[in-house]
Amino acid sequence: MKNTLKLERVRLNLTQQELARQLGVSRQTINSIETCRYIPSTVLSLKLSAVFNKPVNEIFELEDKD
Amino acid sequence: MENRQHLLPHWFKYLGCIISGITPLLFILSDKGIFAGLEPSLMKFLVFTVIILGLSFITFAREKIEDEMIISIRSKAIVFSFATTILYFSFLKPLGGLILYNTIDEVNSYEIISFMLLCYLCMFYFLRRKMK
Repeated sequence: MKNTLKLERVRLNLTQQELARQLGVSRQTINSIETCRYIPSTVLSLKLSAVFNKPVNEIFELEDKD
Repeated sequence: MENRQHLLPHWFKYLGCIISGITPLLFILSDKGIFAGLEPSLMKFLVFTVIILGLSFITFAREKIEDEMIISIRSKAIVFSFATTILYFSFLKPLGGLILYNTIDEVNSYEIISFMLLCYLCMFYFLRRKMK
């Protein structure tokens, strides 16, 4: 699954640490999501969607292998 | 989403490290004959209790930020340690004993528990490092 988390975060001029603090997760979790090593839960995806003010399917996108 | 996992406070991790650090000290003291009066079975019980207590404290201590990724890593590490323990104690250890010494040794619960905790911790920290 691909995502545009890094782009969205940079667009809002947020650091990984700041975003992590807003969402109540660790910086490592944000980094792992950005590098596609971890797929977040629905709850965290919805929280990300609220922070970036974009629908979830604009942030996350399925790939062929999914 | 609130994390409802029942875990020990984070400082138990440091306590666990200190307790686990006592184990080599017990071996050194035992070598010097400090526990000469103790029965070997009692000594074994003492050493394993200290190891299990220390490893349990490290295992069940909350991380600084106990988020969903840590919970996911925990569950992967639990599955790994459970499977490895079954594989080792049910097949590898008896088979090794049979091939090398022509006997099958009895396995005690202390060995199984400490092996499982050790496997869990190795996998947990390996996965956590990989995710960074």
